[in-house]
Amino acid sequence: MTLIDRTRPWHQTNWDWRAAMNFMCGGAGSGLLVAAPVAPRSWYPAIELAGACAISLGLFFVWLEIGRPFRSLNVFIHAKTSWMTRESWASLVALSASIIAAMLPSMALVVVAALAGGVFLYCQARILTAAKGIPAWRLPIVSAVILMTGFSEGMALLALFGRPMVVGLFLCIVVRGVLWRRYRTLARRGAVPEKAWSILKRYFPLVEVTGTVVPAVLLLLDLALGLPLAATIGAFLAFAGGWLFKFILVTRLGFNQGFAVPKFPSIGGLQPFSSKPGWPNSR
Amino acid sequence: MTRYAMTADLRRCVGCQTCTTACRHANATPAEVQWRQVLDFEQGTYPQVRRVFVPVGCQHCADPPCEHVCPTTATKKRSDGIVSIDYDLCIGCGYCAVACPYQARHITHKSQSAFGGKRTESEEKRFDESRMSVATKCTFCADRIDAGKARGLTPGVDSDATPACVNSCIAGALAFGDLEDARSPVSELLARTEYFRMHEELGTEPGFYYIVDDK
Amino acid sequence: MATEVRKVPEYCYQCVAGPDLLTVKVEDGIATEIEPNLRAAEVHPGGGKCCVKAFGLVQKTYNPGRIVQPMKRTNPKKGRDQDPGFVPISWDEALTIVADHVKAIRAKGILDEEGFPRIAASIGRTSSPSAYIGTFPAFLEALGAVDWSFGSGHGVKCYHTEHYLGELWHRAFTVCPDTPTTRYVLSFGANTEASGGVVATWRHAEARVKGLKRVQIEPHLSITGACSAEWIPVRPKTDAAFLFGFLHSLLNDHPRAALDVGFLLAHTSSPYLVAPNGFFLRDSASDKPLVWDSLRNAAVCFDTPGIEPVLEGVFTASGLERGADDDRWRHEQVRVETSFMRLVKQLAAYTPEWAEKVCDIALGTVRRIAAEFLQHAQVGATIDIEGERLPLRPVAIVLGKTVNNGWGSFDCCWARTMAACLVGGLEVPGGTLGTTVVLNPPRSPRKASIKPGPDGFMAYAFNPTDRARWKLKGPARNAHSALVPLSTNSPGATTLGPAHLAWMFLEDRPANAPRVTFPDLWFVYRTNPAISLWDTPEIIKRIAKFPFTVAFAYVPDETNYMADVLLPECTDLESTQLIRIGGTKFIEQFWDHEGFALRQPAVKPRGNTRDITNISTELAARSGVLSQYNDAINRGVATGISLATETYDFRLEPKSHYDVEDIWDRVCRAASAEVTDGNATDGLAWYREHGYRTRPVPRLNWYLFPDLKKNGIRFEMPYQERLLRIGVELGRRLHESGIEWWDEQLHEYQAIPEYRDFPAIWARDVVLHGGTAEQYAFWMLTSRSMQYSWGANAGIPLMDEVARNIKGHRGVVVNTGRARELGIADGDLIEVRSYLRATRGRAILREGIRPDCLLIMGQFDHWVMPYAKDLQAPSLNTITPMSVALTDATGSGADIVRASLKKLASA
Repeated sequence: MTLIDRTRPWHQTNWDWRAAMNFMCGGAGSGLLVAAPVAPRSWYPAIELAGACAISLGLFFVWLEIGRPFRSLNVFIHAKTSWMTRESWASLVALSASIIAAMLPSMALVVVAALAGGVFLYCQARILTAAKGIPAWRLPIVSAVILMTGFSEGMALLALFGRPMVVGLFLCIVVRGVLWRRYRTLARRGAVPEKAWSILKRYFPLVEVTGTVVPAVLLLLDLALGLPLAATIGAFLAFAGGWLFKFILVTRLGFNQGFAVPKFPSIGGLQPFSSKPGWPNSR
Repeated sequence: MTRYAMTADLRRCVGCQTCTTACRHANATPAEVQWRQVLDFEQGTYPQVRRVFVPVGCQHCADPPCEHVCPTTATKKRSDGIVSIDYDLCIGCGYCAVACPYQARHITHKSQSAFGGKRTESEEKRFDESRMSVATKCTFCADRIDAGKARGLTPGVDSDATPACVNSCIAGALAFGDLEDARSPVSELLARTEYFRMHEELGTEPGFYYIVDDK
Repeated sequence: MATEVRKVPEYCYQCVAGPDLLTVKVEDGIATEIEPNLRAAEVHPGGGKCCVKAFGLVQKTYNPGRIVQPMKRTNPKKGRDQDPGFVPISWDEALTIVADHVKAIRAKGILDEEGFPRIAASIGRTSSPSAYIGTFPAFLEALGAVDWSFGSGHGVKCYHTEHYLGELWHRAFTVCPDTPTTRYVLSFGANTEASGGVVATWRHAEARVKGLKRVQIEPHLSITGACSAEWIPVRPKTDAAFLFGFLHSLLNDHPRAALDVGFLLAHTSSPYLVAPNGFFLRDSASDKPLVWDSLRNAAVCFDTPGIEPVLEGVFTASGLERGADDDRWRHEQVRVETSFMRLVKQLAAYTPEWAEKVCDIALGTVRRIAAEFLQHAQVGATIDIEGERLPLRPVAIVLGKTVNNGWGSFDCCWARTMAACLVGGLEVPGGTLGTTVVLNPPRSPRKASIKPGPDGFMAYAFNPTDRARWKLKGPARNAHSALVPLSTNSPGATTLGPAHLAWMFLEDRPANAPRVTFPDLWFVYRTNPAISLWDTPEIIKRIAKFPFTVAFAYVPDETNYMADVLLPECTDLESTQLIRIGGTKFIEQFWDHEGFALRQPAVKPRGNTRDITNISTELAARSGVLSQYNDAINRGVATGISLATETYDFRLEPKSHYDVEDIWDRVCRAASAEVTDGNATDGLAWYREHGYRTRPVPRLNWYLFPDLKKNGIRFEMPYQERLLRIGVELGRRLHESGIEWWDEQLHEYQAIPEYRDFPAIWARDVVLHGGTAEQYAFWMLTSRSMQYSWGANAGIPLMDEVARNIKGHRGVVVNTGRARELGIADGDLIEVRSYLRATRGRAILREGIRPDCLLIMGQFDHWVMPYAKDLQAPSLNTITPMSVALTDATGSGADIVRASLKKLASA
């Protein structure tokens, strides 16, 4: 039995790798649907099917995680405010649209699926920011990060089907890289608990090198020198970097808020003290 | 309108955990699940150090993030301000737990005796399957409040209509009542004291007030 | 859903701070919830609440580790490495085995060849037999002589020195502030918020919000420190220096008129004249101490009407001086000075600056605290209590464990009492009060124990030290009557005696000490000295040598592991007992009511357990002492109430065999009669329904001062002439018996204490055992929490669960900065070693502890008790030596040991 200090943030225990898989698979799948319209028409069926499978797989992992899986249909009830409900509905639309588009590969249907995928991805992004109890997730920038990570993954996954869209992917990972950096800056400045920051600080170079620096170089190499293999490797790394970031975000940075005492009680006229253990400048 | 709220006078609290155990009894929560608990804070550097005990639990927020995120509407804010959970609707997705900045929600998947192994006779008597694998948290002892009110009792004044933690507190640190009623124990306390609400910057509008001084 | 729900009134008396009232919810015959008995708020000064420990009673009842069948040992060998091989037996067989032993002993004679009782008994929790354990005390009483020497911690780990000196000076078995009216409290390590119980917690919380300022002076920031206005991290065992510096400041930094001079002159021995040999100058004819009368300009008897005694001064006077063993000196015109003068002179060297250096605290602290104390004392203020005008002195000083016991505690207790006298704040509203009386009965009301003694002071039943009556070999193995005159020979004296000496002398007898024998039969009632005493591995070896041990066992534990017979008895929620409530009692029970409360079976007994009263009756009958047993119950032994007075008669017939309900029904009837002045005689059924019955009592009962004043009795302050005399006599007796190993203790018998370097005593002890002070650089301390203060709760998971919310449990608290220097991080596995051995636990880094101290909460290191044995919590007891050198003159040690610290593994 470890002696846990419950005043300071500790890692949440409700969402584990299975929840992370939803963000990874679902994000990549929906990103793929979003990217589909820019792909050659002949890739549509495969892309749409792959996107649907990835989203389904992600949802399957969530289903594995929930406490009462046989009541899972209740998830559709609260569309008024819950991004999880909205994500569920969006998944139905995205899955339906993508499967139909796979069977009837028209630009219009692919665009519909892309829009649905985009909505799904947006819902995923908002799921995290609505998790007010987890400082590393609730930062508004996380929505943009999740969106751009999904887009990047989608663009990168096009490499599965042929030569990737190098310029588009390059732009995506650059924007994503800028957002990641911004996220890191916010975390460093105290937006997340100390432990979350120390973990992010440790993993960030790996994420950045894997997901931004090396792929960017490889994509540039392809652009400059026409090295398709470099682009393909770059795409896979860009994809891997995105997954790595999301896996870390969900399973490593999910420290909760902890507790705080902004003002200590006055007992016999004491000097003012405040306490926010586990946060920067707390002592 | 009614808005139930709780106050904790940090000048009084001694961290004894009587409220924690009273809650464990009253609500039959599983081992290690504490809807109410008292934390032990230390601040400063030797020898300038202060230590304070702080009761925590569901803050019954006026704008509860848990309610917003709940995909099933299992979590609801009642008209009297109490945030409740419908165990029959809840799917145990845990979203509310990560949305709560007060770490107030618990999901227990496996129930065993506090001693380990088979549940004792008393534990078995209180065991409630419907609370397994769903989110649970402090209810402000809503069942007591509802039953008490039905008998014409006043929550926060009459013990049979008052949360168990408040009834049990041996330092008189906890109080309960209707904020909308100027004569309720909490209204009277808050009118003459200085207080804070935890993580107020997050905009949750907690219904739990921490008293630190007289006005 | 439950079909039948009942709420059964009970009380909780798992600790000395109770009893507190509660109800237990019973659903279909199963106890499910504990709740406070809020109806009792009308009489209970803690709002009718019960503390966290009471909530453990449900788990205590249904603990799967409980022993629910009598057992006997099959392995004749005893020891930690020996499986006892307990096998279930019938009650008949178990009781027969025990009764046969009792009968055999009685046949041989109840005293052994050394004159000690062949039967010994040890009980847990309160060391107060009548308070908890049914009629078992009546059974022991019926046996004739029982030795209570083998304590489990009480006697040495309690407020030991305070018990004696508190009773001597103001009938204060324990001491507390008059919390509802006090405004300023200096607390030297008194952990009130952890161990003061519901009433203390309630009162202090009320006082805090009304502006009470409490300054907590202790090496680590305790739970009580957290609830205080200021923490002063004093070096361990230097509290006396702080207090001496504090007294010095009161005497030297402020005009005399700022003190309560009138109180000192009229109600203390301050004006008594001290003769050249250090004893009072007395009137030759009457033997009364003399004072200097400024009106007559002459020495006159202290109680001469119409005099104006002088507080300070040196005079020339004639009279008699009477020393030890009736040594007498006739003085003609010798230089004498007042006791107060002696006080001022003695304390002159102890400047605040000196104290601050000794205590290692910030310069200026002591003077500031003294000034605050004096300012809050409001000397001259009065308050009306029930129509009587009394002084109001809203300042108090309280001492905690290891401050009011062990070396230095005499000095601290004296200084505490002296400080109260300086401002007239002893036993008055707002001031420093005693709670109850144990050694100088009657206990209730406390003022009834005031009996005029010699020299204008209260009487105190010292054990004799004169040549004719002093005996080296006393009635008990702990040698309290020979070594500790203050321990008295009252009924509770043996229990309160120096428990560790009995354990030590079994094997390590110092030169010329009486031979201490193992008792033929040892009754152990739910107590666990194998965990709760010191040097526990050694204690276990000694327990293993006891020839025949009968343990009333709740769960297997480290002591009953060595037992021969285990008798499983009902727990709180299964058994019957009526207990006195109200009046005044430790730790801070100050009621405006008094009466009785019932504990009753809320649920059926588990397994084959029996009520202790039924077991006791059966044992008495089978041992052939039934009539003596019934007689003891009739006299109020075990129940605290006589079954027959002039107004009622509910006596048991001597030869009849009564059931538990019969017995307690009669006790209830007697209680009803007492509470109602004979108007009601309701029995058990009434109490089962209502839970308790009380009547109002005057609040004036809280304060001793009015009655002392009425009786013209003075507080024996500042000058300890009696103790000085007794010390000299005791020294002579011991030396005449060839005993010199108590000499260090004899130094403590001082008229006005002289500060000694108390921490050095521990350093010297380390050196004596081959170590160096540097090697054992830390002071290992312990502290209590409400979950584990008394209560035998180590095996209750709920207590463990909630105790972990409070920092310090299950680990070793280390100062954060010091830990960093040593490369120790939070959660690292560390070893704490004394010169005896080591204990290990997880490091808990905190700022609120001195860098030279370590802290372990509670008492653990279990290896048998279910659940507790898996806690892997360290224990101070494992590494703390039992030692004469570390024992003070009252026979008390302290929970403190020099230790080294080593990291074993990272978290």
